[in-house]
This record gives sequence, C-alpha cells and structure tokens, in this order.
Amino acid sequence: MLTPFEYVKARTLDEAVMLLSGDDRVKVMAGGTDLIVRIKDRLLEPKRVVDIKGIDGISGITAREDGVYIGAATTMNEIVRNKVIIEKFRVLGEGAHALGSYQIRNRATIGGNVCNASPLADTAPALLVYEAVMIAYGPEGFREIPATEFFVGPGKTVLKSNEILYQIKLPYYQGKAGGSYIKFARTKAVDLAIVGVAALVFDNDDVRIALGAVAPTPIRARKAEQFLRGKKFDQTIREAARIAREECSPIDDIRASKEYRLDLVETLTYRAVKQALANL
Amino acid sequence: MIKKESYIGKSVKRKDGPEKVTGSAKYVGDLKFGSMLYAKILRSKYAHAKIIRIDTSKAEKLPGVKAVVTGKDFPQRMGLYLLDRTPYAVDKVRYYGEPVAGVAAVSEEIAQKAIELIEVEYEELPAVLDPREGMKEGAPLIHPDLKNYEHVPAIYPKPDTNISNHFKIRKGNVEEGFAKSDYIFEGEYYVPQIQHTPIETHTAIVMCDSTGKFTIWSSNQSPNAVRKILSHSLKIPMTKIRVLGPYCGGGFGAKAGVNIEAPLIPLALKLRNKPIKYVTTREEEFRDTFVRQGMYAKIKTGVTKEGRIVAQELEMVWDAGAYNEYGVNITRAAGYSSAGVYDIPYMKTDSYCVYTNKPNGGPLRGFGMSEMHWAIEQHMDMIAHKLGMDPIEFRLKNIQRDGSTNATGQVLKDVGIEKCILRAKELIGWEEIKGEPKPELSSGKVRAKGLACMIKAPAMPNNAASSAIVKFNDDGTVALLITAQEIGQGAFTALAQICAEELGVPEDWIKVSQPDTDYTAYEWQTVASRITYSAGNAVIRAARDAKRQLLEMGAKHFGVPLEELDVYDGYVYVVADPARKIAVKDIALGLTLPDGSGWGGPVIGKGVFIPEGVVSFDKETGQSPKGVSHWTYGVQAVDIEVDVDTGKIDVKKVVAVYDIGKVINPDLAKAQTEGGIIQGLSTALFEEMKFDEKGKLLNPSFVDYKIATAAELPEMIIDFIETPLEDGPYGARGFGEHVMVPTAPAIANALYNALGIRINTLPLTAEKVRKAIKEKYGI
Repeated sequence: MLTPFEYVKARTLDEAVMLLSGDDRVKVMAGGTDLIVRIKDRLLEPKRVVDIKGIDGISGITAREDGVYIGAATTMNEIVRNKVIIEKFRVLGEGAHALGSYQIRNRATIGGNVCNASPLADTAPALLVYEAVMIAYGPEGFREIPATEFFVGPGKTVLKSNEILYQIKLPYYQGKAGGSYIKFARTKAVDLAIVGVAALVFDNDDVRIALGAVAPTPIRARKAEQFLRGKKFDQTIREAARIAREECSPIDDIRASKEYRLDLVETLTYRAVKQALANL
Repeated sequence: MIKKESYIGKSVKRKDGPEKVTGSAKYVGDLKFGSMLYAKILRSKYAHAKIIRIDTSKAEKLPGVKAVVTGKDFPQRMGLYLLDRTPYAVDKVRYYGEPVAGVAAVSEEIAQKAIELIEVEYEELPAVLDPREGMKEGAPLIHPDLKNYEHVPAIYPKPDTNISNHFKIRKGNVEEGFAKSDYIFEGEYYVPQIQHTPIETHTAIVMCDSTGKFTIWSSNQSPNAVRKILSHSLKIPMTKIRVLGPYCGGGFGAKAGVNIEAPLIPLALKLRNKPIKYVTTREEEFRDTFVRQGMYAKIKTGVTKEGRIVAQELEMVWDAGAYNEYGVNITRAAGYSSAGVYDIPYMKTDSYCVYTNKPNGGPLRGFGMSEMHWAIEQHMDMIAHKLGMDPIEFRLKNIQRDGSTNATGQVLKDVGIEKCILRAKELIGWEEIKGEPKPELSSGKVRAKGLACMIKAPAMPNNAASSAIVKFNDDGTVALLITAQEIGQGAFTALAQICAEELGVPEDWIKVSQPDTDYTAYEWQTVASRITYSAGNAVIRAARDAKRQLLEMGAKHFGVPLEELDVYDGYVYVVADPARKIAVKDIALGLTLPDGSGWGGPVIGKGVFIPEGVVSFDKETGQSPKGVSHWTYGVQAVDIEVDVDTGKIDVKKVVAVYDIGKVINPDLAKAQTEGGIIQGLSTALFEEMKFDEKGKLLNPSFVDYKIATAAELPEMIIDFIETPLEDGPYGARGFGEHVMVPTAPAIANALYNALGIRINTLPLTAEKVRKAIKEKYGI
C-alpha cells in the first residue's frame, strides 16, 4: 500500500529543479524500482515525487568525441544491449546485467542505482574504474563531479537536495583495456551483492580495481592497484588481492559476516584481475 | 471388439492450464463485491507479553472505519488437532506478529490508518526462543492452560510444560540393541524454521449475512476443515457456513486448516452483509501464516562390524512456535516414520512438539520428513564412511524389504526402495566411495556425488475420508463434484483422467468442480499427498456407480444382460457386437423406451473412500500393525561442484527415482518432481528464517529470504518405479510432497564426498561451507 503523494512529471531540467525546491521530502523518481518499494515499506514518506524520465536527453546513450554519455534515466537493459558499452565499457555492461532480474532491468535506471548510493550498487564499481564523470544539474546550472567523489556514505551522494543527476560521462581511454565485474551473491540472480569487484587493466600496465559492499561507499582499491602496476603476474595478483582486503572495512549483516566478506574480497579481486587480463 | 485406449499413464494436458496461462483463472484476490470492506490487522511487537490495555477508541472514530475487534470479541480457541489458537491474542501475545486487533474499513488505506491509531500497552514476559530450553522444567510457560485445551486422542500434551505433544516409539529394548552392536555412532542435526513462499499470499473474503450464514471465499487447501473448525468455534451448524475455494496460487501446506479466515470472523459477526477482504502482505506471509517447524535431532545408532544396523535412539525436539494446533501432528508423523527407509530391530524415538515464542509451526510439503531425513540420511552416510563402506552398499544392507518391520512394528510389503536406489545409482553414474575423500583443491573446484533416501506416508487421521459425485449433463458431458483443491499439483487433471477412464467417455468431457462446501462432495483436506490416492479411489467408485446406471439403461434398451455391455468413447455398446450402441447423451438423463415412455433418470454416481484397516498407534510404544494408509519410497542422487575459495555449492545434476505405484500422468508426475527438487535444493542452500534475540523475524521479504531462482536449476533426471499399492487407484501411491524431501541431505552427503566436511545445520550457505573448508584445510 502506498502512502499518498503528489506525482509530477518534469519536462525540463529547470522544471525538475524547481519542483525539487530543495525540500528533503521531495524525491526524484526514474525507474522507481527502489523508490516505490521504500515508500511501500514506509521507509520514505515523500510529499512529492518528481518523475524525471520525460526530460530531454536524460535517457539514452550517446557516443561523443570525448566520451560516451549515458542519460541518468537510461535503463539497465539499454546499457546491457548497447554496442559501445559492450565494446568499450564491458565492466559497466556486466554490472548492469548483474542487477536484479530482467523485468527489474527494464525499469531500473543507472541514475537511480547510483543516486540511491547503496555501497553494493552493481553499476558503481564500473563507474569508479572507468573514472566516470557525473553531470548534475541544479539552480546554478551544470556541475561535473568525478565518480570517485560522488559517493559520501550509505544512501548519500554529494548531490544537493535541489540537484539532479542528468548524465554520466564515460571518458574514452588510451590504448586497449580488459575488464571484468564479479558479483558474489547468495543466488545466481535477483540478489544483492555480498561483495562486488570490478577490475580494469590496460595494455599500458595501468590497473584499476573497485570494490562494492565492503565499505560505507563503493571504493577504489588504490594500494592494490599501485602494487600491481607494471607487474601483473599470478603471484603479484594474489598479493594485490591481499592488499585489497586490507583496504576495505566491511560490516556484518544478514547476508554475510565481515570476515567472510574480507575472504571474498581477496578471492574475487584475484579472479576479477585475472579475468580482466584474459579479456584484454 | 473395440480397442480401448486408456487415459491412465497418459500425459493429458492440464485441465487448469488454459485458464491459468490466459489469465482467465480467478483467484480470491480477483474477486470484488459491492459494499466490500477491507481488513487490516494490528500485530504484536513483542514475542511474549501480557496485554495490559488496548484502546481502540481513536480507531473507531476514524471516518470510514466500520468495525474494530480485539481478542475479547472472540475468545474461543480453535485448531485442527489441538484447540490452542484464538483469532486475536487474548490477555497475552505469544509471538512477534500475533494479531492483537482487527479493523474493517471502506478502504485498505483507512483500515491501515485505523490500525495505527490503536494503542496497546504491554508488559513484556521472558520469551522462549529455543525449544530445548523451553522443554526444561521451570521454563516460562507459553500456554499455562494447556491441560484444559481440547485435542484429538492421537496427541499427548504434557500439562504444565511447553510440550504440546510427545510421540514415542519403543520397539524392543533399545539398550539391548546397543549391547548387541559392535559400534555406536552419535550425531546431532538441526533445521531452522522456513517459509513456504507461495506466489499468492493468503487471501480471504468473509461475509456473514442477515440470517447469520457465513460465506467464505478463501485461498485454502481445506474447505471442509475450515467449515468444521469454524462451526465448532462459532457453535453454529455447518449449514450456516459455506466455504468456496477459487483457484489457489500455491499452498505447500501453508493454506491447510484455518488461517487468515479466522481473524475475519469476529469482524464479520459485527458487520452483517458486508464481504470483508483480507490480502496478506508478503511480510505477514513470511511471519504470520504457517512456517515449517525448526527441529533439533540427536541420533545414536548401534551397528555390527558387518554394517548391519541393530539399534537406533532418536530424539527430535521441534521448534513449533506459538500455536501448535497443526504442528502436533508433524511431530507425530516424524515419530512414526523414524526408521526412515531402514529395517532396525531395536528402536527408541522421542518426538517432542515444543511451544516457542516464534511464528506458528505448521505443515510444509512432506512435513516432518524433510526435517527428519536431513538428520537420518546424513547420519547413515556418516556411519558408512566410518565403517569404510560405500554409502549405497551400507544402505542396501539395511533398507526395508518385504517382510521387514518399520518403527511401529508394521510388517511391510510391496517395498520398492531397493529398485529406486539401484536405478538412481545407475542414472547418476555412481562410482564407489569409501572412506574420507582426498580432494584435489588446487583447481579451486571440487566435484562429487551424494545420495539420500526417503519414506513418507500420508499424515492424517485414520479415517480421513474422500468422496466424489459424478453427474451427467444433458449432452453427455460430466460434472465431477469434489472438494479437492487444485493447488498446482495437477489434481483436477489426474482425477479427470481417472473419471474418464472409468466412465468410458472422452477426458475433455469431464469438468472438475472447484470446492464449494454447500454443494461439492466431502474431502478431508488437500494435503498429505493423498488426493490422487484417496480422492482418486472415491472418483473410481463414483464413476463405476454412474457407469452401472448407464449400463442398466443400456441393458433395458438393447434387451441384453448388463454384463454384456460396456461404455467407451461416449457410447454404451454391446461388447460382442459394437455396432449396437447408444450415445451416452441419449440416456444421460434417462432412457426413452420404444413406446415413448421414460425409464430410469439422470445419471448420478457417488463414491466414497476411507483407507481401511489403519489402526491407532499405542500411546506408550507407538506400535501398530498398520498405522498409516501406505508408504511411498524415493531416492535422490546429486552431482555437485563446490567452489573451494568461496564455499559456494553449485548443484549440477539431480536424479530422482520414486516408487509411485502407478504413473497416472507422466508429464505432471515429472513436473511435480522437478518442482520438488527445486524446492528441496532451495531449502538446502538458502532458506532460513532469522530472528533477533527478542524473537523478531529479521528477513520477512525476498530481499533477504532467498529462494532458488531459475538460474539455480540443475539438470534433472527423473524416473519412476511402479510397485502397485494394493488399495491405490490402479496401484498409485501419493508422492507430491516426497519429491522435495531427500534433496537437502543428498547435497550434504555430496559435500562430504567432495571435501570431507559435514555441516549438520541447514542451510548449506556458501559462508558456512567456506568456514568449514578453512577450518579443515587451513586455506
């Protein structure tokens, strides 16, 4: 049962910002797969819900000169199927595919997934390794935020209550890259990640690793990355995985213990880097 | 001669299929009536607490609220076997989630608002969350009045304790048996409470009209039981209660007996002529309907050097929740089945049903058997390994055969377990396993096979009855009136096949009724894998009765003795001269004689069935020459792969072989088995209700109560053995529930065979497995 609220569909970014009016009890809705569930569970009782799906340019994937732009209201299934994503940004495609079920992926959007700011968001590790840029819009106009600075804590981003996420830019990278996202959950589908690991390796020996569900926000495992730079051999990958384990701070919850998550970080970091190398 | 084609053993398409796939099938949730009201229930926030005060005044004043009720409005206790449960808590609450007050209002929203306006003052009491503590002397009493509760004679509550039933087996002197044994093996096993998770949550509409007659539309497996229980507690005749069962979107036992109908009764009593609808939320479904009982088992087994089991001592302590009206029989069923598939000369079993301040334990598919076999079947494997014997070899030495006795001293016949084991062994490609495995860990993945057996009988009163009416329509088509429910298992299809087979009319002429207790023929309950067996027998008899009437008219029409006629494909014909025939439609309502006069009348057949010769178990020893209607045996063998570094078990293949006496519909039998395997696999790997230290359920949603998804499905190879059951329809035995029972212990046994680790508690989560690997191998 839904507690009644005012539903407004914004047609422009300015209209959306005006409707948000900086009030915490106004919520942005794209796919609604998180929001509506929370309203039903009465974790949220918004007085107004602003639907942003109708805003021009907020849905769809566009390749430009400096990168690929993904509208915040682009659905997971659009991302999974997109050719450029498949060819250039496969880690994001894998993350999007790991989320929910097919039906959920028809509705759920990338903007919703990241603005929800769950530490286990399946698309977040990919955005971190691709060093995506989050393009937000507010009363002062557009603002660009590096993905690595976007998440603040569980459920919290740097967005102000009168800002909305408009697009996510994935900058092109130099040379060749191989990537992988490994999600570990209880069931093989329709589950939340106990641990998620994204790895991206470049033919110039750069390495990027991001971890989900093991800290208050999705994080980059920078020490492990640094350790691996220039020496991606089996033994060093194992050592890097051990370093990654030390970089996170998971909690015990109903899905897994802290100890088990740490073990998984090590195992999955190793596997993700190996897989990324295989995909190079 | 006419060559007759049989419907038995034929994959007739599901009767309910087209309606369900096109969305035409109506469920209770689809039903809407004028002036309908909506109910909401205020539930306890304590596991055990005295109710000091309830103030409903604000709720009553809210516009749109039509009635508010609390426990005082209807304090009568009800239940199937033990009358211990009231629709709303009276004086105290016994689990977190128990109904405390109910509201009926013009909309769900208003009802919800009203619920939130009700003030309840509690005084918290110490809660019993572990049945092993709860059965001890001095534990807080959950039902201090237990000694005054009405119950059926077959259960034995212990006054002034939390033990609602104690079932005993004393077969010989077990100490003597241990003295004759060369080795004694002991083990402990545990299963948590789990949920049925039907797709459709419990839903009911209850209306009391101006004459005091109740009409109840309910997603329920037991319309007749609902009527009986409510008639008893309302103290009104059964003519004043009509229970209808539209399609039921999954039951698995959760919808047996009275459930969500009960809290609507006091509301309906206050509001005449208003249908009141209640749709259980998913959260309530998880916590406030029946759950499968938790169980702690301790087994001690004595065996000879040669590997022959001599004695078994088994204690089962059931975590049965706040109300045990149904759970007491689960304890009993596990008790009388406690030999499993084995021939054990000396046995001592104590099965205790214990009240706890947790959700109500109730029937879940194969109740008692999944829990008990989780213990027994792992224990048997453990013994085999300790003796250095192959688990199958050990089983073949000890299984029941014709002439063996079971736990209750019954001398068995037509036992098909050996055939099941040998067939499963062949289908899984079993290679001998002896002693502790030495896995190759370096590849990160270890693969192994495991096997488990099972036995089950319908758990029901000795005289659980079925009946059927076969009624011909003008055009020769047939209404089969039964009160068995189609809960997805295919009952309507199997019963239609049986009816068509016996009548000699095409199967698609048979329309199977949905339950309506005012008009359809009595059925005890759609539970216990008993419908094809019990209702099937009633349908055979009803159809034969109707057929005899057709033949009588045929005899009159052709002027030949009845014995020389038969019915096939919708015609009564002379066997010796099939060209002489008359269409069933021409005589369905009576015969017209050559002179134009009428003879006979509309054909209506009736049939009834009660399994005969089922004798009560002795109270002190649990012995009976025949304590149940029949046994069905089965085996599952699995092939699993374990990820050494994460502990995740991937079930690659499951072989299931069951001796079901006679396969009535191969496609449906196979589908039922597949469903059972998936449910068994799901309980093996994922399912567990988790509680905090106050007894609050922590995972009442699919977010954190995981069930297997389609992605988890293994390759499934299914086969059936057909050892006919003497009184089964065409020899058929019940098996609908049995197909989930051995999956979990088979996986656990495969895990041991893979890595030499044994996990005694369900579920086998990746984390638990990983921990065990780490402890054993230090990696």
